[in-house]
Formats: sequence, C-alpha cells, structure tokens
Amino acid sequence: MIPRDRPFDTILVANRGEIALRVLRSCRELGVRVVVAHSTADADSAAVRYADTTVCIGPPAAGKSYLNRAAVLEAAKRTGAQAIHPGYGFLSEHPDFAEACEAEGVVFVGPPAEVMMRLGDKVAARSSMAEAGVPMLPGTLHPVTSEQQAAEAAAEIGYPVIVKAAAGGGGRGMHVVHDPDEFSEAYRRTTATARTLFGDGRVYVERYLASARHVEVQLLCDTHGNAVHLGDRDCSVQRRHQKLVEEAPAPGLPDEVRDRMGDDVVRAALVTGYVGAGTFEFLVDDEFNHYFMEVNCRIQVEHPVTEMVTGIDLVAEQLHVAAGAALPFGQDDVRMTGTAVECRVNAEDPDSDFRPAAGLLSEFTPPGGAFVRVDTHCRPHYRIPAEYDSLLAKVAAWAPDRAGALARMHRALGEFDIAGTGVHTTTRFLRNLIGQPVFARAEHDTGLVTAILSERTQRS
Amino acid sequence: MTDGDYARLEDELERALDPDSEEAWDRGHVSDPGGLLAQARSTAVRLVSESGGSLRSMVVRAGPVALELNWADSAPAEASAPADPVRATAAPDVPIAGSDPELTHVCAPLVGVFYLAPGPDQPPFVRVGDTVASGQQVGIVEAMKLMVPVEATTSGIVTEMPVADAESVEYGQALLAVRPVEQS
Repeated sequence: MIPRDRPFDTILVANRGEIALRVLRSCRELGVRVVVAHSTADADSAAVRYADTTVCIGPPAAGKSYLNRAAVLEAAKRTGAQAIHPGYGFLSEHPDFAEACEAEGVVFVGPPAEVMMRLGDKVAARSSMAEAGVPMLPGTLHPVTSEQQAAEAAAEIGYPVIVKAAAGGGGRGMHVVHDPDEFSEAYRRTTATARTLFGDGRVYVERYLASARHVEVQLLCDTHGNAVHLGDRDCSVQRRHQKLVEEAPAPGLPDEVRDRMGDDVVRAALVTGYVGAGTFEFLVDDEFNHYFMEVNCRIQVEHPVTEMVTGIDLVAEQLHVAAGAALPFGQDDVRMTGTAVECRVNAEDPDSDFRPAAGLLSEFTPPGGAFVRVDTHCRPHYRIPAEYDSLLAKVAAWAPDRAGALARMHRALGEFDIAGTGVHTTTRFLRNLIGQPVFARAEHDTGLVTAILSERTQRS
Repeated sequence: MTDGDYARLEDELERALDPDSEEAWDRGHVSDPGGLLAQARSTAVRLVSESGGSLRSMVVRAGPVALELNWADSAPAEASAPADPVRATAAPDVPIAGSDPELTHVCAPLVGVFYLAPGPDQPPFVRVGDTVASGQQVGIVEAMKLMVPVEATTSGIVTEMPVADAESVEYGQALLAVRPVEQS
C-alpha cells in the first residue's frame, strides 16, 4: 500500500476557479506534484500560476476543454499523473469518464463508475435508498413513461407534486405542480428540458414539500469497507435551487434526528459500495422528518464548513482514499466543534434578477481576521471569464456558536472590496440576508430568498 | 494583442472617462454627458487607429454613457477547435504576438503528440520551404489513440517548423509558420 502521508507522486487537477486552487493546495501540503489542465481562457489563472506543470487542453468553451475527456486524459498521461481530481461540476460525475480513466490506468478521484451511475440516476438512486431503508417522499420508484401514467401517479401521491428529470441535478430539470390542471404542461416541459439538458427524457414524480429545509450529510468512505459521516449542513438559503449560504451543523435540528440521518447515510453508503467523499441531500419538514433527495458523488462547493467544524481536510482524505489508504478515524473520532457559515460571492447583479455581471476586476480585497476562510481564485486586474460560472469567492466564518459565526460573517462581508467595470456582486445582498431576523433565529426554510426578493419588489 | 495590451488599452480608456464618473454622476457633479461621450469617442478612435489589434469587444460605462468597441479581426482561438475530433479539422490559425505579422501559424487543434509524417519510415507531410495549399494536411496530432489530421488554413510557403516529430503539444501551440501567398 502507498504510504498514507503521500498518496500520489503527481495529480492532475481537471477543473478551474477556486476549486482547482483548493485541490492544488491540499496536494501541495501532501507533497504531491500538481498538473493543472486549463483552457485558453484560464491560461493565467491562480491555479496555473501555482502548478508544477500546466497543460492547455482547449479553447474557452467547456465542451472543448474541461469536458473534453480525451484532452484531459491525454494531459494526464503525457505529464505522468497517476490520478485525476475532477473537482465539482465538469467531469466530476460522469461515470463514462471514470471508466475511461480506469481503462487508461489513471485513478479517478471519486466513487467507482458503477456506483456513480446508479446514484447519479435519480430513479435508480431511489431504489437503492428504498433497499437501504432510507426514508423518501412518496413518489414513483420507476420512471414514468407516459403523461397519463404520470398524472395517475401524481393523483395517487397527492398534490403538490414535483416532476423531476431522472438524469437531472444541480437544481435543473424540475417543475412544481400545485394543481392537476397544470400537470400536463409541467410534464411536457420537464421531459423536454430533460431531453435537451441531459439527453434523457425520463422523469419521475414525487410529493413536493412547500415548507422544508435542505439538510445534507457529508460522507467519507474508503475501499476497506469503512464509512463515516462528518455531520450535516443546512443549505436552505437557495435561489432557484442554487445555494447561496450554507452552514454546519444544521441549526435547530434535534440530536436524535441528526443521528438518525447520519446512520441512514452510512448504511446506504455500505449498501451501495460507495467510495470517497459524497453528500446525501435531504429535505427536512416542520416535524423533523427527513426525506432523501439525491446523492452528490463529488466534493461539494460548501465542503469548507464541514472542514471547519470537524478539522478534517476533505480533499486530502479524498486523495488518501483514492490511493487505497484506510480512513485514519472512525465515527467516534469525528467531533463537531462550533458553527461554520459559508457565503457564495457571485459575480451577479441582485438588482437585475441576478444576471451574470462579469468583467475586469479593478479592486479585489478579500476579508481577513480570525476564523475567516476565503476560497477564491480572483485577484486585482483579473478578468472574470464569461464562459464559466459566476462564483468569485467563498467566504466562510467559524465561531464557537452560531450567533458568533453570523456576526463574524457579517463583519467579513462588510470588508470585502470588489469593483470593476460592469462588475456586480452578491456581497451586499448576502450581508443583508445574514442580518435577517428570521435567519438569525434559524426559522427560515428554502423559501427565504424568494420572500426577501418579493418584499424588496413590493417596497420599491 | 496580449492580455497586458488589453489591460493597458482599457486602463487608458477608463482614465479618459474618469474612474469616479459613475459616482460623480449620481451626485450630480457631471453635467455634460455629451462632452463625456465625445471624449470617450475620440479616445476610442485614437486607440483603434494606433493599435489595429485583435480586440474583439470592449464595453466601457461611465454614468449614462456606454461605449462598446469591436475590433474586426478577432483572435480565432475560440473559433476553430474540432467539434468531432475524428474528422479532419482546420487547425486554428493564430498570429503570435511579436512574430512577423506576415506569417500565419498552424496551431495544434488539441492536446497530444505531433507527428510530421504519416508513418515512422515515411517522408514528412511538408518541409520548410514547401508550398502548401489551404486544406492540405501538414501533420497529425494523436490524442488517446485518435489520429487527428492537421491542415493548413492558408496557402503559402512553410517558413518555420518549431515542433519536432513525436513531440507533445498543447492546444493552440504553433506547429508551423506559413507565409501567405496571394492567390491569383
């Protein structure tokens, strides 16, 4: 077995932005050489600057660079990288890419292809969860094949329902239906979106919870049959299913519910043969019932809050596990301390329906201070490429208690200085949100952002 | 143009427009939008005539004034990567900053290994001094066992071949320089 202190000689990072830098940093700390594969739009990125070796794999369009399987694999082979870390997005949840890596003798840092395939398909994932005894919202266990069948299922489940693409994810390919009269249109739109976005028109129907919290559990598994959970995160602050604020642990969750969710996740991981880092997403209703939503077979954007409360470097553990090492801790060794909150600062204009507002940064001074962590690839005079997502920085703050963490976050966001021609950010919007009494009391649900925005519209 | 050139041009234009003008406009300190626009326009005209570079698009806003610039001959780096790597593709033709402006470069359409000849014991597709026609195959890039033909996009004389046979190349790397010949 490869010694635990140095999982690989060389790793290729097949991503960009803050996560490429995040992965690179853990590699550096472990003494692993880093190859950064980049597009022409990222030729002067922070990750490229810090890399030991760089390979330009294609033009700015992601389909021809970061999603180009042949180019990424070729880059790994010609630089002698033994493993590829896919980050999140891009190739992180493509079973065919994991398979191609295996065929070329390159380690894919993530779950095995067949596990990813089963859990990535929402319908197949639901069957696996049913098998593992994980609670789910009433819904179809198999994809519905006709509108009539779907409408009958919806009537049986009871309205409101949500129609979801079997191959969907990332908050896309789903429609909420409150009334049977609206069902036909929602069904057609979801199947059409699913076909266009995911090349797979299969959908399923599930009960829709209007007032719920989004709570997820972080999982870590090795190849020796060990599975531990690293506690939960609340990601209820969302806009159009995109998370804006995340925190660990989920506030106000009774300990027995927390434990039950953790146990469910560990059991499901062992049933499905999961390996690596992963996240199980749940909806939690007013009575603290939790219902399985989906599994994310990758490191997630919001992983820093878990790192801050557990003291565990999730990326480093991903690498050790990928190299075949056993987890150095058991469930009883995982201790949660304090509260950590993360805000995603995006280059978007909250006053114009959050439209992307990228451009050339003239100012970029991130906040500092004790217990504040900023994950960012930006710097002054950096041009935000228009081709990729709008995430500029993740600001995370830790404190012994939630009120302290929120105060620290409020202070930190106030320090963040970002400016540039045409550039708008969500910083002030987030700061305002953090200060909302309903958020401070942790009485919010996934409808919080919509409520704030509609209130703003009414006032103006 | 390099990134530095872009930054310099933009800085110059922004200075001409007063970096605080948006704020000044809000406070009512700017009373002459026509003057601001004229100033921006004259700066833009000067920049266009001086640089003649490949800037594709630039938007500068100052209060109510928005100025959009487009340079016509854009860098084709984004334009011509292969959609299907198995088919023959015209490699991007990127003029390299600082090199002879008369030359065009045939660049690698993908990351991989560059081959000068169709096989190990065969003569190369082209040599320095050869005349090539647009569309003519000038090499192969191999990636993940796929052989992707590289074709010239300009007719002319090969003046330089900076990459040796079987060498690794990145996307967009110059493989050969061609001096274009006027077509009659």
